[in-house]
Amino acid sequence: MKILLLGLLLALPARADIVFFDLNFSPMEITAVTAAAKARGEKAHIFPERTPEQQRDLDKYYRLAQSLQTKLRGCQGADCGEIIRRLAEVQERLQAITAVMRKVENGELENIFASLDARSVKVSTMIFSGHSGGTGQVGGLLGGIVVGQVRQAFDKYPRLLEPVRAILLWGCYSGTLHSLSGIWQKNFPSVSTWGGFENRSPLGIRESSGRFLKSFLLSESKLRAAKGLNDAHRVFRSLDLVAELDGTAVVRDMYFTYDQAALVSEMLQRCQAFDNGMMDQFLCYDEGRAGCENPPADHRGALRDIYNYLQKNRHCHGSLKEKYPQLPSLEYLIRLIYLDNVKKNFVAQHAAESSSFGRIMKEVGPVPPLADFGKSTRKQDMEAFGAMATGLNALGFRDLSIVDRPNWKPAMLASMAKEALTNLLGPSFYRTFESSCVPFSWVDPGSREKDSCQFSQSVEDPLPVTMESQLVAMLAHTHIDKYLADHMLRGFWIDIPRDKEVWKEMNKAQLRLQIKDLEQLSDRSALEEARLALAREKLIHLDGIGPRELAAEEAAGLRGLVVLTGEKIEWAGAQPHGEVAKIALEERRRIMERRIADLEQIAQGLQP
Amino acid sequence: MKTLVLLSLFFPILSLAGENLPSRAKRMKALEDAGLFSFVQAQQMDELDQDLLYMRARRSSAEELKALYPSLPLEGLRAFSKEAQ
Repeated sequence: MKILLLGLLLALPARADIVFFDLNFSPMEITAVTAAAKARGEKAHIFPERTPEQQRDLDKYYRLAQSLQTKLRGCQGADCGEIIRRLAEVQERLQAITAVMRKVENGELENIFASLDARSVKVSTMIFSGHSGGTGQVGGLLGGIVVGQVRQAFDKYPRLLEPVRAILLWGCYSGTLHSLSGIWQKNFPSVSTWGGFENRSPLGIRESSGRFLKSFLLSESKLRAAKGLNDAHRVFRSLDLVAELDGTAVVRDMYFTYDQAALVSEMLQRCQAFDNGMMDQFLCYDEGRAGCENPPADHRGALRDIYNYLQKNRHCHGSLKEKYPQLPSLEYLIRLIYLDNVKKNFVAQHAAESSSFGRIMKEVGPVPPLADFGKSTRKQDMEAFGAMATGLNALGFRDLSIVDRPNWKPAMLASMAKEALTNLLGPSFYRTFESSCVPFSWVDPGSREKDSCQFSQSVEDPLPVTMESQLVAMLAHTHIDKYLADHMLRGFWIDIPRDKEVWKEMNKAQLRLQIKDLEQLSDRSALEEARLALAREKLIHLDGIGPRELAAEEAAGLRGLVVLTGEKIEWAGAQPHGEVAKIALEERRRIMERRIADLEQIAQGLQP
Repeated sequence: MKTLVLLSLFFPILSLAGENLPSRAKRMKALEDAGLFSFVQAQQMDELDQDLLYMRARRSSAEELKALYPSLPLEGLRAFSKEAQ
């Protein structure tokens, strides 16, 4: 009888199951996967495996860490010190909890595949959840995978891939057309259904992430069974929170977002419509060139056309960005189109700082009064920004090594004011960001909303305590950063001998450039002079050493840095507002000490 | 964490305020839920105008919106609650 039962069991087809890789602690998604698997008549396998106690502790400390990180972003002065201290404690707790778990790293993915294969598990859907940049990797607190590793693991256990109908990538930007079709589907063409997020995704401790996942899992078969593009889009649009979370899907050769459904090939074709001419039009207005002295007063024309194109074709962003690194974000573009209103708000809100701005800028030469920025053209603004840069360069302000010059303070203040002003009104690093320090409401005149570009703080006289505190921290870190750069310690996380050689060659090339740049300066500061001598010495030295010596040298360099950091900790502690800097430096020293110990072990294991 | 601490110390400028522009999908759903999609179509609004309407609807009072868009049906505007973000 027993033999008969066993025979019957073996004759039954293996049940299809969902495999969920929880790489950054996502309890709400685990609940969703478990519920969806039950509804589908399947079993959910969660990795890494954990005990209920570990899950409970992870939940407690993970949420605490998230809340402290949020508080840290908005803290001021001494409060920040306490938050940094608590955050470090919580992160150590998290490390202790996860240290005993079998994280998905160092070959564990293949072990998991081997175990699933040995148990003849028939995988219907596989989910990777964690942080992602949409470039084929997903990871976090509990491990990480890259598409190549998954490929390798499936190649080793091909039977496991055969029944897989869907792979879902639950992380930020994992659902862009490039990620789903260009990276993942290309590697696994037999998998017909793919899902992810076009933009940022919610953390796995949020309910929304689980709701969308459950809905996707329960509608997956309907998506596949739909008759044609429109029918499939109707199913996709009905998914819970799909629009709110910017969910996306690829089903065979079709790509879906809430607002669009098209063949993948058609979506890719649309990206060809953006050309050099459009980019030139943008740069022409952004830089106030001849013929584009100011964005049109009616807010229409080429800039608006570019905005409309980019909003409608967000899926092209990745490929266009590769071709045009200066491609503006929508946030930047809309403020440029409405620059007239932005400037009106700026002048109205900062009128009171006009005289202190004038006092600070006196150091750098002829800079227009603040009120003039309300009526000037983009072209005139660009000329003013250029004059400020020239004036600052003449004062010796090239980078933070200015702190070694006797006249550093006025130049530092002028530089900060210039930075804040260009972040508000000029081309700045915000050009390519999905955010801005200028509030959106400034596209309309008469906004009551304040900007967060720190212009007021930059021209405040005397300096406010918060700014002084930040300045103390900045000065304390300046020497340390220069030390890191000068001693080539930026590659100190590389442990593979071959990579160390590559790193050495890269650094030699960088050293040559650095020497060339420094030699061209006729008024080198003492620090710049020392850096030039060190760079020449280092270049000669690097030629004759191998990976083992490199690791030993990095350890020695870091030991020197620990001493220097100790001096700066004492210095910061003695400053009136140096508490936050002191804590940050102590944390930095602790990381360096840990790394020295690692490097010493690595150096022992490497060939000379 | 080191990076976070250093960023917060070196680049106070990164402490950004405000809300980002929506994706087209998010905007379309919000306008549909608020019963404004037919208004958008009747006005033949382009992408930028729709974004402006969405952002203004989330930030402005009914009176302010009525001044900017006299024929705007205001019944569904509560759907623009920040909770959806």
